Amino acid sequence: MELLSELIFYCFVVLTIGSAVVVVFHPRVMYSAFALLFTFFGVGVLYLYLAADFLAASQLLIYVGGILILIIFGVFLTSSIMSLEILQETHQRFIALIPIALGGIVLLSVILSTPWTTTATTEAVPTTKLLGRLLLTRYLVPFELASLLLLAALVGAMRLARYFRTEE
Amino acid sequence: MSPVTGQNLAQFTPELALAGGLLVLLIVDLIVRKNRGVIAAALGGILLVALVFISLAGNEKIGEYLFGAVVQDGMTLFFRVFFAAATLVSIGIMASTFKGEGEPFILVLSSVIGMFLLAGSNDLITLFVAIEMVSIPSYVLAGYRRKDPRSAEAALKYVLYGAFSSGLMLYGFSLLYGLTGETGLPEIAEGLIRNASGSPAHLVGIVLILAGVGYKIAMVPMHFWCPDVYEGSPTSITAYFSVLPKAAGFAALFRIVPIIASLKPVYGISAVGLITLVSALTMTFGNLGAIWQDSVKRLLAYSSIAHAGYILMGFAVIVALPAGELHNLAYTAVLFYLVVYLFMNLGAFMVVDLVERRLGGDSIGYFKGLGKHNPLPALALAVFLFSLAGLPPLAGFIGKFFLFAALVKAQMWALAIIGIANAVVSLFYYVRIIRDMFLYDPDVVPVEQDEGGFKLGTLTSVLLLVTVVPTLLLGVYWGPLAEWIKLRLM
Repeated sequence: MELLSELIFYCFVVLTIGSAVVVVFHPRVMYSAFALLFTFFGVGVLYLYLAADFLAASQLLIYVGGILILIIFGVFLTSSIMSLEILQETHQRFIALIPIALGGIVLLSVILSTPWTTTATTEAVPTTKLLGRLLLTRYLVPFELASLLLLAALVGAMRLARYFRTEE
Repeated sequence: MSPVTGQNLAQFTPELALAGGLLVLLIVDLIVRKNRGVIAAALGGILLVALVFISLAGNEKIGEYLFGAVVQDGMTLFFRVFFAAATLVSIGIMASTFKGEGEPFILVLSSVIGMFLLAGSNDLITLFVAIEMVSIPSYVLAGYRRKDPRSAEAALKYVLYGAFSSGLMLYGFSLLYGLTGETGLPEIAEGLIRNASGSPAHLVGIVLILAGVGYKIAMVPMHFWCPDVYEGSPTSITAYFSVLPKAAGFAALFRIVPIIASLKPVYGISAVGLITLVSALTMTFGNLGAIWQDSVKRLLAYSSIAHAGYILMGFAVIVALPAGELHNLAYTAVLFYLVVYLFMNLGAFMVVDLVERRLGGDSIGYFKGLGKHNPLPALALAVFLFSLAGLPPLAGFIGKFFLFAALVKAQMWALAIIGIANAVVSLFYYVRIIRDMFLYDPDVVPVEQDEGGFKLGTLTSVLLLVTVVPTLLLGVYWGPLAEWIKLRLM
């Protein structure tokens, strides 16, 4: 049982990372957008493995069901997007490799060597109630601030989009 | 833990007033048809004047509020007044560019809410949302002139670098959370001191957070966006960028001082060493970059990078000495410098904006002979530039003096010497503009020339006075302001 669970976990890790690689490297936007579907889904499953049921559900609902569909619509509505090849040349590949490798080694060694604080959760309990309570107590301020942030982003997006039309 | 009560919320009158004012402004902007910008600026201005007074009178109840998500202390009180005053001047500068558009003012005000909460954030989540609240409206503001490809480029650069640095910062947050299992800043500092203050993860977390916050203050090596964004954005918005989001970045840095200071040296790398290094790099890169610039906007962008380096010198002392008299002295020096920087930098950008609007460009050629056809703005710009260079008897000198005094008392000689060498180098490029303004004949003759120079509107004249007078006054009579800041920090 334990082994099976671990096997499934690694399957989803491979799915998540593999599709993320496709998102970044595929030259066609449409393919990248569809690969993103699997990345989001895989991340949702990883949340489930962390016993974060609500987070996993909202990941599916918001990212897969909402944002991704919007992205695909956006891609559809942009003319000649199917044939559009994104400029994907990489310059100075080898020079870039050095800091990336160094950063990767540092991060990996830090992650592996640090005694992280862990919580011993053995049983998965529904987290919704706890999250709701936290959002209205400890994290009330950021929660409310996020709504103002969305308002400001809305104003900004409208402004940028509207002028696009009147200018043409 | 303190729950939401009326009394508790009363501590947040400025933030609530800002949020309410923002909504009113949005609705008014929908109703009026003409002069939307002027009306928005006027309403915003009234709100901000009220905020300056509310914040000045601020009931000084110190402590954690709203379930520990925000903290109110001397620094919060200081930054409230600072942000409100700086935004007031910025809005004034913007009002002459955006007469018919209300959105820039709405975006600026929403950014300011983020800044207010950033100055009081006591929790990683509050800190992050507040930083994004400062950043996201700024991206739109940078790209406000969509027809101008430089403006679009500025917005794109700003947003891409911003997303990247946010990612770095969040990674750093996750490391600290992983080490301590807490999101509250004081709890994290405690937890780090208790179990993990010498661990590599602590160091990497701090480096990543410094990178994320350093992006806001254009700290080397996170400064690449700065000249391009400052050059591409509309000048009046650049003026705002050069002071407010930068000061907000410093407010965020001050909030994480306990976390940075709790780091014990890892492989010989200490927190103070790290900040000393970036401070020296930041001012040197800024000053060396500024020398070669032809566009005055770019020059001031590099100069603002250098000034972030100067302020980081004081920050190094703050981190080196987490408590005590010298700590407070360095704190006072840094906050004093921010106030001085506010006046001289906003003033300098305002004159550049004026010249750009009247003569058509911001390269140094447009400034040639400005002193002959427009003595007043030229004189004001000369005052700002001399103050930025740190010459007595101007405010910039006193600001630098406080910073160097703190460094010398903390016996951080190397950094002090690098700082002084940088101040000397910076004199070169500031004086070059002043020389061009007063000793050369104009290349470009203004089109609508009135007797004795550009016709300065009432607003511009008032704003010039508001920025010139403190720049002069704080150079000879700095006592009350320094004392006021010191009292806030007690």
